[in-house]
Amino acid sequence: MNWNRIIFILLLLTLIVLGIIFYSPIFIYLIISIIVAYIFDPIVSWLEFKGMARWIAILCVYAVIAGLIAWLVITYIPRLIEQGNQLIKFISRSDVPLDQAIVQLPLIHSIYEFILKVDQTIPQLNLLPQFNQLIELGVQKLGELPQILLSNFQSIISTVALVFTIPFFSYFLLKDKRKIRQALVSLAPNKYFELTLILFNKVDENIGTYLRAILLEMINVGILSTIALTIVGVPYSIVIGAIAGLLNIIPYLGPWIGGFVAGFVILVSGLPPIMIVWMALAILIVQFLDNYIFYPLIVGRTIRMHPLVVLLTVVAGSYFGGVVWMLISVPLIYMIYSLIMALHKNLKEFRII
Amino acid sequence: MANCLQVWFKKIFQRKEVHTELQKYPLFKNLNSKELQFVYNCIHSREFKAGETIFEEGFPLEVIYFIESGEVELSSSKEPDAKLIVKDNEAFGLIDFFSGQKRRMTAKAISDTTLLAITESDFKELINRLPSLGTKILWSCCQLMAKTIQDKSQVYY
Repeated sequence: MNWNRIIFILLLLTLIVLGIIFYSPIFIYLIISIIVAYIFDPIVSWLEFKGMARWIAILCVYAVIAGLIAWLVITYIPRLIEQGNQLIKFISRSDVPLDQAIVQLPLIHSIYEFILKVDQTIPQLNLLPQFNQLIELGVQKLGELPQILLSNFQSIISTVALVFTIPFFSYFLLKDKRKIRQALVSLAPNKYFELTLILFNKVDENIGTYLRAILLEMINVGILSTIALTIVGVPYSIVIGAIAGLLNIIPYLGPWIGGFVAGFVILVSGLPPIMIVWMALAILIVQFLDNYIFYPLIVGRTIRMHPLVVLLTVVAGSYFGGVVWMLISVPLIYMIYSLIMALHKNLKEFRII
Repeated sequence: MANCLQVWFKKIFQRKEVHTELQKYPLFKNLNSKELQFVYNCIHSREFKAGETIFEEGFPLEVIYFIESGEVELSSSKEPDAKLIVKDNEAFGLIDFFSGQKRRMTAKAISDTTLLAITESDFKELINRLPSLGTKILWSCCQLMAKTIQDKSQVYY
């Protein structure tokens, strides 16, 4: 190996490191756009094979999604404004101190009463002072909010701007999917060409299947939970259903956390505690329906890992980096696992190792 | 002025005939412009130097190669004497694609060669998603095979 080659490689490495440093702030947005692109790709491809130009297909999908979001906003924003007005009215009443005003809010008031009841039944617990302290802290933070907003004005603006660039990133990722793939594969040397293609297909397929499965699962469990909780009579069933759907991504532990949230709401809203049993039954039925009927129907074949490995991975993920890692650790580990399996098999078959 | 506009509009709305160069391969000769576009989207172009091995006997099969330019020699360890030279506008790896998951022969570039590769999964997806394109391609495949059977010298195709 001659010196020129070494210098060239060193320069290239420096450039790559500098590039990573330069582009590192947007990696998270890039990852989100890749996820969005993977979710929409089947619809776009289907439309493309039906004879629509790819960019028109993407714009159509975007239009539908924008319509859905607009519909949600129009339906829910007035209610939010109403509640906000109520809040401001409460806060701006000058005759009561702010702490008292917040305690008067319906939801917080019910929590307050619940804690009061707990304190009365178990006198040693003394939860009430702590709760008051928490509210005081909240009020303090609320007072600081305008200041925080003002001092972080620039970073907030740039974050919002970046969030709005995600659809653009996704648009180009979707539109030039094949070009990107061709460019990446063309980097591989001739000897590893077919191997690269095999691995690329494998990773592509796994990520795509997993992300779409997660999304469909989320929607499915969310809707089923909402229906079940509404039948049982739990208040805020839509919100709890949505939370249960979201939490369902975490294997094994997610449904439990969703159940706890629902149980908490039942206790707080002062319904008879026997409701918790009915709610638990409803969630169990939903899980049963999902695991044995809808999951095989929607997803079919996807991750096949031993439950123990999955559970250990989730727990390890939660230790490593909280809820976010709980969500991504299982797909990540599965991807690395399947990649290594495919790599090993194909390296042997191509007689490289 | 109006004439100019008319020409301009015609230019914009004209269906462009794209990728007609792919029609030189027997497999794609019946496809129309739109279908060729789909085929073109999944093509990977590779360049091999003279003497370079493209694949060896027993390797897993992932792609079908079309020769854009150059010459490729196919040989098998089972029949060392029978060597086949494939030239421009021909394809190889097609029979393996239908017969099994392993390469039956070794391919080596004789001269500097440009190859177009289509992966098996893309090929199958094209056939499944666009039945009209699939029928045309499979029809051409049958024609090629019929020709191969008639002409015994091309057993390796």
